[in-house]
Amino acid sequence: MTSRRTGAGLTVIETLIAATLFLTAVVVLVGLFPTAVRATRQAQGHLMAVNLAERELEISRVQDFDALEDRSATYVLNVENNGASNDITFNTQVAVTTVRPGLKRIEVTIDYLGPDYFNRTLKMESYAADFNP
Amino acid sequence: MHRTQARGIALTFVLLVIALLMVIVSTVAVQGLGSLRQAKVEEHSKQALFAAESGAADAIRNLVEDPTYPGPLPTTTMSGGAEYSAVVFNNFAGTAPTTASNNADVPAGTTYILATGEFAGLTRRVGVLVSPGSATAFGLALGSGGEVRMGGSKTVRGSIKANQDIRLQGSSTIIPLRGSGRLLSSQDVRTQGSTRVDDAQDVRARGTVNSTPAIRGGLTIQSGDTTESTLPFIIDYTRTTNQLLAGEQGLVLPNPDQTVLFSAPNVVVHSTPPALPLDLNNQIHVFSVNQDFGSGDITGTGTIVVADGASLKFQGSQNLNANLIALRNSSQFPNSGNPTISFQGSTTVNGLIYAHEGIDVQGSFSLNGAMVAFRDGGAGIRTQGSTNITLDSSVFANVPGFESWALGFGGVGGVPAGAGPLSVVVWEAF
Repeated sequence: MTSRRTGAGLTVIETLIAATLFLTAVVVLVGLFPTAVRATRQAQGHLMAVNLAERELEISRVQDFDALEDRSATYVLNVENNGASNDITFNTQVAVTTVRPGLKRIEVTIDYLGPDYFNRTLKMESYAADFNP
Repeated sequence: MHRTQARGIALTFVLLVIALLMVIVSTVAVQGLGSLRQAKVEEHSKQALFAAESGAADAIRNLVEDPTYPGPLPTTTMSGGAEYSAVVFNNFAGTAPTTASNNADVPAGTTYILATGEFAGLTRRVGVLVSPGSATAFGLALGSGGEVRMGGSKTVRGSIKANQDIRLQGSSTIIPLRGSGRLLSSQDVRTQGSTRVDDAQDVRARGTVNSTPAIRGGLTIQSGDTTESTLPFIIDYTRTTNQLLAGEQGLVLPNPDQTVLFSAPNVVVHSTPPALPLDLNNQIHVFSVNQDFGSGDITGTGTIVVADGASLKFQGSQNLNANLIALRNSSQFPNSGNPTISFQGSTTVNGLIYAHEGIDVQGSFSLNGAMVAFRDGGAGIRTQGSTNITLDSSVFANVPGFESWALGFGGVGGVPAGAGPLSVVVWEAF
C-alpha cells in the first residue's frame, strides 16, 4: 500500500516536470522557427535582388556608351515559400556617373520589402568604357 | 508491477518529442542560414566579377587613349569597397603571337588584359582580348542570308542570325560563347519544343517571336525589333571584306575574295576525280564539279573548295579537320548554279562550312567553327538530328580570302578599321 502511494506521487511529479519541460521547449522552439523561416525567405529575396542588379548592369553594358544615363524601373516578382506565395516589389535605380572621360560608373541600387517583411537595399557597381577615341 | 514499469514514461516521451522538435527546427534553421550565407556569397562573387570587369574597362580605356599602354593597372578601390587591378599584354605592334600569364594566346596585332576584382575576400578574374579597328568580324555560330531551320536536339554555343526566319523544333539550347549567344532574325523566330537561351542574351525578330512553349531565359525576347542587331546581313557579291561603308550599319555576310583564294600557294586544282582516300595535307583542294565523299574518303587537315556552282556531299561517318567551301564563280552571281554542302550520317567537322547557296545537315552532327549560307533568300541552313555547334571565328583566318572576318568581336554595328577604336575579340570570366 505504501509502495503504491509512493508510486502514484512520483508519477504526478514526473508528469509536472515533463509538462514544464515540454512547454519550455515548445515555447523556445516555436520562437526559433519563424526566425529560421525568415532567414530562408530573406535569402530568396536577396538572391532575386542580386540577379536583378546583374540584369540591370548587363542591360547597361549593351547600351551605347553615349546613351548611358540614369534610369529606374519597378519589378514585381513572385516568391513561393512552403506553399505560400508572395509578391515582392523591387525598385531599381541605375545611376551613371563619369569617372573620367571615356569611363563611366554604373551603380545599381535595389530597394525592396523582403519576404521577411523588412525593408532592404542592395547596391552593386561596375564601370563601362567607351571603345572609341 | 505494471504501474512501477510505467513510471518515467511521460518524461521519456516528452524528451523524445522535444528532440524531434529540435531536429526539425534546427534543420530549418541550418537550411535558412545556409541559404542566406549562399546568397551573400553570390552577391560578393558577382561584385568581385563586376570589379574585375571594371578593371578591364579601365585598361581598355587606357589602350584607346594610348595604344602603346603597357600596364599594369594599379589596384583601384571602387566606391562600394571592391578593388580591381589589371595586367596588360600589349601585342598591338607585335609581329608574332605571344602568351599571357594565364596561357591565353595573344595574336600579333592584339592585346590581352587580365583583370582581377576582389570583394569581401572573394576574387574573380576576366580575360579580354582586344583588337584595333573593325567590330564587324563574324562572331556568329550560324549566319544565313536565307532561313535557319533546325530540328532534333541541338546545342549551339554562339549566336544564330538569319535574314529570314529562324525555326527551331525539338530541344534547343543556345549557350553564350565570348558574349555571343543570341537568336537574331530579320523576319520571324519560331520555336517549338524546349528552347533555352542564356539569361543575359536576347531573342530578337523584326517580325514576331513565336514560341511554344515559351522560350526559357533571355534578357529580352523582342518581336517587332528595330535595333541594329536584326538588320539583314549586307549581302553584296562584290564585297570581299567585312568593312562597312560610310553610313552603313549591320554586318557584311562573309564572301571570299576568290582571287586571293585561288592564287594561294597551297592550292591544288583537281581536274579529274581524286584518288581516295584524299589526304588534305594542309592544302586547298579545288574541284569544279560535284563531289561526293563517303566514310574515310578524307584524311588530314586542309580545305576543300568546290567552285563554279558545284556541290559538296558527305555521307556515312565523317571526322573532318577541314574547311568546306562551295562557291559560285564570281561571274555567276547572283543566282546561277547551286553550290550547296550536305551531310548525311554521323559527322564531325572542325573548320568553316561555307556555301554560296545552302547547307543541309541530316544525322548526328558536330561542328567546331562557323557555318554560313550566303545567298540572299536562298535555301539557308537546315539541320535535322542531334546537332552540336560551337563557334570559333578564328576558322576564317585559315581560308585565304576570308581573313577579315576572323578578328573582331561579332557584335553588331562596326567602325571602319583604322579609325582608332578597339573591339573585343574574347571576353571570358574565370
